[in-house]
Amino acid sequence: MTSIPSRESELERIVLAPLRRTSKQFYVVLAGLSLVVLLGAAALANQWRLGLGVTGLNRPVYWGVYITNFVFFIGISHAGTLISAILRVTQAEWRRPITRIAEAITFFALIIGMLQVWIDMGRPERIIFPFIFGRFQSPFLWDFTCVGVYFMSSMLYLYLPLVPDLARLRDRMTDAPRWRHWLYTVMSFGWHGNAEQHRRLEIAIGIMAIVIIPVAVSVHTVVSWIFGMTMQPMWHSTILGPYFVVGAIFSGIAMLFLFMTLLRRAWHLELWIGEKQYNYLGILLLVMSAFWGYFTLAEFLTTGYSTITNETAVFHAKLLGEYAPAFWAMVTANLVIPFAVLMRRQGRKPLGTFIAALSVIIGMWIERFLIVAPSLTRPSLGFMPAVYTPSLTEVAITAGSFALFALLFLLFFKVFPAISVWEVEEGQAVEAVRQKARELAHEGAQPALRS
Amino acid sequence: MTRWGMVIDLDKCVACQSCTAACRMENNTPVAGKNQADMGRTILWNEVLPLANSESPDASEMLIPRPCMHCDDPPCVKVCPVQATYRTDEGVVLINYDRCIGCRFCTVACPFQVRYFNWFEPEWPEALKAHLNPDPEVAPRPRGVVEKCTFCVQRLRKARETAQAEGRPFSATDYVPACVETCTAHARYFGDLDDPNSLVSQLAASPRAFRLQEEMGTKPKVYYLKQG
Amino acid sequence: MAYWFINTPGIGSIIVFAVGISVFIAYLRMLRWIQTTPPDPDPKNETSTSDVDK
Repeated sequence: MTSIPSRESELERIVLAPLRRTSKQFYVVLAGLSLVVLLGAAALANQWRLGLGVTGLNRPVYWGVYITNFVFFIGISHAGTLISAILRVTQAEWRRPITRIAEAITFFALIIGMLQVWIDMGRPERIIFPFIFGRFQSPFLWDFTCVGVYFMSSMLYLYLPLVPDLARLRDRMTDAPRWRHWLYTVMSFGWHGNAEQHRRLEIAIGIMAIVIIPVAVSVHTVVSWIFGMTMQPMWHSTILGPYFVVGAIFSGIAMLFLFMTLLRRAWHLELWIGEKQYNYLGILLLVMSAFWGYFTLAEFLTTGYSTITNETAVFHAKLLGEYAPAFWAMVTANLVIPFAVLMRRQGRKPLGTFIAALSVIIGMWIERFLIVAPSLTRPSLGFMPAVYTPSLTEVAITAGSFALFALLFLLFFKVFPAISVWEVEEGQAVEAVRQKARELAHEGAQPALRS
Repeated sequence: MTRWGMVIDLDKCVACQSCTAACRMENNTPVAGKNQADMGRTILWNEVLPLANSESPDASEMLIPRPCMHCDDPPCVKVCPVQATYRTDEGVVLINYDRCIGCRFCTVACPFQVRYFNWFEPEWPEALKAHLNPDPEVAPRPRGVVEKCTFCVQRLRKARETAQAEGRPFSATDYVPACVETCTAHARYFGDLDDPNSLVSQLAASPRAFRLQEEMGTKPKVYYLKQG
Repeated sequence: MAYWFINTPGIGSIIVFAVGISVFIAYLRMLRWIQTTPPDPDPKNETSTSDVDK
C-alpha cells in the first residue's frame, strides 16, 4: 500500500487549502445564507404558532409547496447514488474527484427532504406518533422505512471513503483548531491504513455501492406511491414510480453540476475537476433529459388520448389551463435548454453545463409542483376548480430550505476535503502504472520490429 | 350487525341547506369568516354542492347535499399512518383527534372531499359561541387536525344510553343524525342498511337509487334517489 | 385474513424499527470490522505520518 509521503503533494496542498485558510468571501456567503435560513426559521416559527392557515393551502388543495419540496429534495438526494455508486461499480476512472461532492449532496438533500414532512404537519409535536402507532398499510410507513435505510446507507457511504482522508487530516493538520483535530481523530477511528485495512475498506465501499442503488430506487418509488396509491386523477398511475426515479436522478445530476462548479471555483479545484468530468457528466445529464422526456410523453399521451373526464380535466389544466405557463416552462427547462446546450461538445464545459443544470433544477422543481398541485385542484367529484397560490410563508420556508441545504454543504466542505484525496492518488497511481506499461510495451515492440 | 346508512331523495330536496346549518350547530364546526371562506377553507361537514348532471341532455346542475359517504372500503382509512381515522364495526368512519398528526393524507385520498382540516384555532362569533353544543364528544377540535361528518355518533351514544336507562333493547330507529332530523323537505332517511325491512335498505334498492362515484369501488353508504 | 398485520397501529412502527436497527447494526459491524484490522508488525509499512516534517 502506498504510504503517505511526508511532504505534501500538489493535490493535497490545493485540496486542503480551503480547510486551512478562510477567505472574506466565505464569511459573506456564510452570512448571506444564514440570513435566509433565519428568515425561513422565523416563518416556520410563525407557522407553528398560528397553524398551517398561514400557507396558501385550502380544500381541496391540501398539499402544496412543502410536499413539492419534499419530493424535490428526496429526488436531489439521488445524485450521490447514481454518480458515485454506479460509476464506482463500473470502475469509471473520471469519477474519482467528484464522488465526495455527490455523496455529500445526497446526505444533505435527505436531511432537508425529511424536514419538509415535518414542516407540512398540522401537529408537528406529534411527529413521534408514526413511530409509536405506525400502520404499515399507509404508504407513509413505507417511506419511513425506505428513507430511514437510505439515510443510514448514504451516511455510511459518505463516511467510508472519508476515513483515509480523515486519518490524513489527523496527521497533517495538527495546527488546526483543537475541536477540529479532535473531530478528525475521533472520526478516523484509529485508522492506520495498512494493506489489509485498505482491502477491507474497499470491500465495504464495494458492498455499499451495490446496496445503495436498489435502496435509492426504492426511496423515490415509495415517495411516488404516496401519490400513486390514492385515486386522484393523474396520480393514480403505474408510471409514477419509475417516472419519479428518472426525475430524481435527472435533478440529482443537475444539482451535482451546480455544486461541483461553484465549489470548483471557490475552492480552486480546476486542476482536478475538469474537462473529462464536465463532458461525461454532461452526456449523462443529456441522457437523463431524454429519458425524462420519454416518460413525460408516455404519461401525458396516455392520459390525453383517453376521454376519462377526471383525468383529462387535470391534463387540460396542465397543458392549456392555468398551469400551462408552468408546464411549458418545465418542458423548455428540462428538454429544450439541456438539449440546445449539451448536444454540442463546446456546451459541455463549466459555463454551459452550469446554465443547463440550473435550468434543469428549476424545471424539475416545477415538475414536482405540477405533479402535486394540479391534480388536487381538479378533484374527481368535480364541483369547482380550486385555486392554490403559495403564501409568503411558504416562499420564505422554501428559500430557507434551499439556503440551509447550501449552508450545510458549505460548512461540510470547510471542514472536510472536497475531493477524495486518497482515491485520486490511487487513480494517479493506476494511470502511472498504465503509462509505464505502455512504455515497456513500446520498448519491447521496437527491437522485435527491427529483427 | 347494524350498518348505518343514509338515503337522500333528490326529488324532495330543495337545497335549503338547513342540513348544513343543523350539522354545524350539532357538531360545533368553526366559522371560517369571509376571507378564509374565499380561500376555500370553510368547514361544512354537510355541504350542498353543485354538481354537473352528466345524464341530463341540457347539462344542468344538480344540487347535492354531501355528508361523509362512510364508505365500507374507505380510502382515507387505508392511508392513515397512525390509525387516527378508522371504521367502526357499524360501518361509521370516525377520527381520533388526539391521534391525528395533521399530515392530510386522508384528505387527499378521499375522492369525495368530505374531510376538512383545521387551519387555525377554531373560532366563533360571540353570538354563536353561546350556542355551542355542550356535549364533550363534539368539543371543538384543536388546530391542525382533520375532521368530518360522523353520522352524529354522539346522538347514537345518547340513544343507546337512553334505551339502556329505560330498560329496553336499542332499536335502529331510536337515532337519526341532526341533518336527517332537521331536513325541511323530509328528503333524508337514515337507518340500518343490513336490515332488509328498514326504510333505508328498501330505498337503497330502489331503481332510482345511485351513489356518488360508485365506479371508485369505495362502497359508499350514502345513497341518492335520482331527480325527476 | 392478515389485514390486522398492516392495520394494527404499532406494527408498522415495529417494522420500521426492525429494518432500521438491523441495517444500523450491520453497518456498525462493517465499520468495526474495518477498524479492528490488525496493524502490520513491520513498522516500515505503517502509514502513520507522525514523522511529517513541518
